[in-house]
Amino acid sequence: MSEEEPPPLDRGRILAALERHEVRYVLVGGLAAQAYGALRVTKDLDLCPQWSDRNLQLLASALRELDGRYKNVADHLRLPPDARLIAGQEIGSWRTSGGDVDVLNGIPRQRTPRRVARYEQLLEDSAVLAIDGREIPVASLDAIIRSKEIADRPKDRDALPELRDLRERRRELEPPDLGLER
Amino acid sequence: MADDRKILEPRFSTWEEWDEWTNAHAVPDTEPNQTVLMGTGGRPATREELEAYLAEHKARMEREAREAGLELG
Repeated sequence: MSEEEPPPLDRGRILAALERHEVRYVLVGGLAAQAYGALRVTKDLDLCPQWSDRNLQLLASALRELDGRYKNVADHLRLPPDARLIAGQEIGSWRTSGGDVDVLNGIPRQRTPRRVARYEQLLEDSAVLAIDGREIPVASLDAIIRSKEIADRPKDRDALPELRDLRERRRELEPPDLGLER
Repeated sequence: MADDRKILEPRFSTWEEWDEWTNAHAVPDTEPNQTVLMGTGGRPATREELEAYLAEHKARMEREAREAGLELG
């Protein structure tokens, strides 16, 4: 199994490729949490794309442009991305020349019965990350916290106190619908 | 959707600065691959399941390419 180190991060390049290919997505996971001020981060980039044939084709094209391959599997199975391969996985992990990218069909929003929040729902109450002249949709902090509460892996439990604290601080700072907007 | 979304202004003005900071401070992700295949109720796939899925996909792609008279690189 190939377990080589991922290449140095170049998330600007990943996001530029997504934009060039007009991929519709919302950022989730550690980078989204970091956009709200979290200091606890991992190096991959998690995104939740609109789950349509057309959009997954665009996403596959963007990942191919970045030399994306399936990671942490036997060498002969490190397949390049295509829309059907992506569509067959709720969560898929890709190694690209700009770093690791996880593609999620949705993030957990209810434990029993199990439900996930998909692109459309996440976009509805998303925020916008403004950096390098680009505006990137980011899942709401509430959605991120909820997903970690439900996923409940050790790393989620580790991340939650900081995220809850950030949410409280933002609530204190922001009058409803005003606050940090510009 | 009316675009009245909040604008988040990160502490970094460029991705280069942000990536540099992340490389220096990121918590290593020591968990195994978290791939979840469709229809498995959200359960992470074992390596064997994932590789079987990828092998099946690869075989299907090769078969379809042969039928279309193409050759995969």
